[in-house]
Amino acid sequence: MIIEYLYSDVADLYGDSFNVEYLAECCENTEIIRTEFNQEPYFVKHHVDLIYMGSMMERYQQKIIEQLKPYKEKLQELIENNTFFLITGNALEIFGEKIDDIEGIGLFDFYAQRDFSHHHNSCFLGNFNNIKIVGFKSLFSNSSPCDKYFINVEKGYGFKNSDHEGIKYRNFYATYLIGPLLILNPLFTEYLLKEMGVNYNLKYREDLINAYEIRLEEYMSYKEFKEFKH
Amino acid sequence: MFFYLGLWASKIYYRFFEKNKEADRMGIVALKFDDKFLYHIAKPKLVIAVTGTNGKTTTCNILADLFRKEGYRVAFNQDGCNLRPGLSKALILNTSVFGKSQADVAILEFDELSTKDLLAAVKPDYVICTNLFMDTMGRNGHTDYVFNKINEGLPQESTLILNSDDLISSQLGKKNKRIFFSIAQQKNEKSKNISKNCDIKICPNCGNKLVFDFIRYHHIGRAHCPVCSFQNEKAQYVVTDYDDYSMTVNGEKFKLLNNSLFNIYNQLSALVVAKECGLKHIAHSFESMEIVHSRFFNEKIGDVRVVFQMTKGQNPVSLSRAMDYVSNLPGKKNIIIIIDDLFDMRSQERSEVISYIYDTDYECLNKEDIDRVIVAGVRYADYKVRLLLAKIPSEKIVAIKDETKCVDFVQDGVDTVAVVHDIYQYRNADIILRELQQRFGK
Repeated sequence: MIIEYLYSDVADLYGDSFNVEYLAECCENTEIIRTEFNQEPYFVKHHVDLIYMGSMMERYQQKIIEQLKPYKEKLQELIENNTFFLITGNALEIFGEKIDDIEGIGLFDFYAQRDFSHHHNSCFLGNFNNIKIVGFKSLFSNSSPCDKYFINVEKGYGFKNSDHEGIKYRNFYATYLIGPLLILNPLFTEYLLKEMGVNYNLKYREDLINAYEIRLEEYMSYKEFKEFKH
Repeated sequence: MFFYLGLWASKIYYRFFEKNKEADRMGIVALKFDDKFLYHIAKPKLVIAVTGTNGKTTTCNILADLFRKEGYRVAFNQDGCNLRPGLSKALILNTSVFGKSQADVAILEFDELSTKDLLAAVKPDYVICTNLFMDTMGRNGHTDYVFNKINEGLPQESTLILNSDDLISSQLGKKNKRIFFSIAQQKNEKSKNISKNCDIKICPNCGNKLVFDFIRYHHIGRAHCPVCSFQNEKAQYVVTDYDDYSMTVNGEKFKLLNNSLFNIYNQLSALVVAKECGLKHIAHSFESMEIVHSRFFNEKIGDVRVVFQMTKGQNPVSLSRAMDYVSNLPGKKNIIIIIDDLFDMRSQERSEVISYIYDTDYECLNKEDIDRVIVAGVRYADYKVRLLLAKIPSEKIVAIKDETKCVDFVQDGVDTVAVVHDIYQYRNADIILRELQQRFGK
């Protein structure tokens, strides 16, 4: 399996890199291609099985849009041809129409708005394909709803005025949830690996499931999640 | 008028009603009368502000000691209350009922996110920014966010004291007078690989990849941009060499208060300000100083070396430095980790951003002479997963919920037991210390 980690030097703000590192632990013969800032993406000329990008400081978003925009058609082709994408944190905004006044790549019909006076933090409990998804958000922005959504919100906050969170279209998965999403959600990780059709062994499965169940039980016990704002 | 009401009311409250003299409520009382109280209260002739991610309190403590030892009367928010009420309290306690400052110098720790407002109110002569790292993500977001908060508020007249080895904070206040300090690469000091959590890898001027010439830890080191002129600022105060007990700064020898690198930086930044302010007996003052006990403890209990290292929770660099430090202690070791920020344990009303667990370098604990890692607290299951991902063998890991039971799992025959705990775990750390004393004391 070949995983391209896009802009790994800047898109790893909240321990996001563990998503790809964990996938590599689960699947033998996985190669992680770490494309760095200002480098041509590997997917432009080579086959990849999964493209990953994680959270970043806002100033990098515009530069990454500029770097990816020339490959918009290629990205669209990959998405339509069912290449897997996993995008976490504010990296998802890059694929929308706009971030404030900055033109996004425009692959999906949503726009994001930043507000540096409103630092949103919250826990999240959702449902995707009958799998409970747990995680947390820490953001200075939010997006308008998108009809190609990923997760149904059960507790916490989705896209603006929406009960849905993230983007899911074919094998493109994007969520505002930050950090090591796949480690926090071993059942989703199993689902993803099955969908990818690769041989895998969910490493440290028992311990991941234990941590997941403790968090899930705690999250289920709360009536609602409150926003923790700065 | 409202200022004086606030001043008097706060003094009366503190004198007659305040039960916890360490709390900052007298400052809150003053601010209730006058929202701009901090602007209006008289300041000493010399005002020093200390901000940054790590080392603020230690640096302030060292600075206050240095000034006191030379006979200065110091106004200092030493209780760690570093917002408007805490600063107000520090100044009120050193202000007469007629509103005159009775202190010679104010040493004020500033919360880095509130620095803009505090700087405007206090207008310090010197601002030390110790460093800027990722920290408490639910609150501080990221380094750009905190950098901008500080940078936007810097008064033109303040002189900045900055760490030239920190490629982020050293970019602050480009229009201000700036004095830089640095620790030169030591002969026995190997450059580390770029940490995966390095907070700056891209040139802040042109966006090209930085070339690191030397990495001490995280983004602390020397780097340059191969495309534009970006590089570390030239330091006026340089530690040319140091050992476990002393450091040489610009040819002058000083006793080290603590030999951990981040504490050398703290001591150095305090020394720079003391020098700039004209203190005469700095070396002599250091001789009779010790790091505050609650932050660091290293004693032999029976045959076992016991080390307590307090660190900031939710702060990957502070945690990583603490892990690195305890991993290099001598002999066969057991490491106890209790670093859940207890205030954050119920996630309903708090953010539960546990990414700091993944941004911390636990890989250094995967060593032959570390026989056991005992991790305890509400997030014990998350930590166990993280330790496994750090390739620490499962049989070496004990993960339990109850912090007070840690000592039950400490092995016999170890040379060293190191306890890494955060500030909110000090009560459990005390329990662990007592149990270790009972277990190993003779």
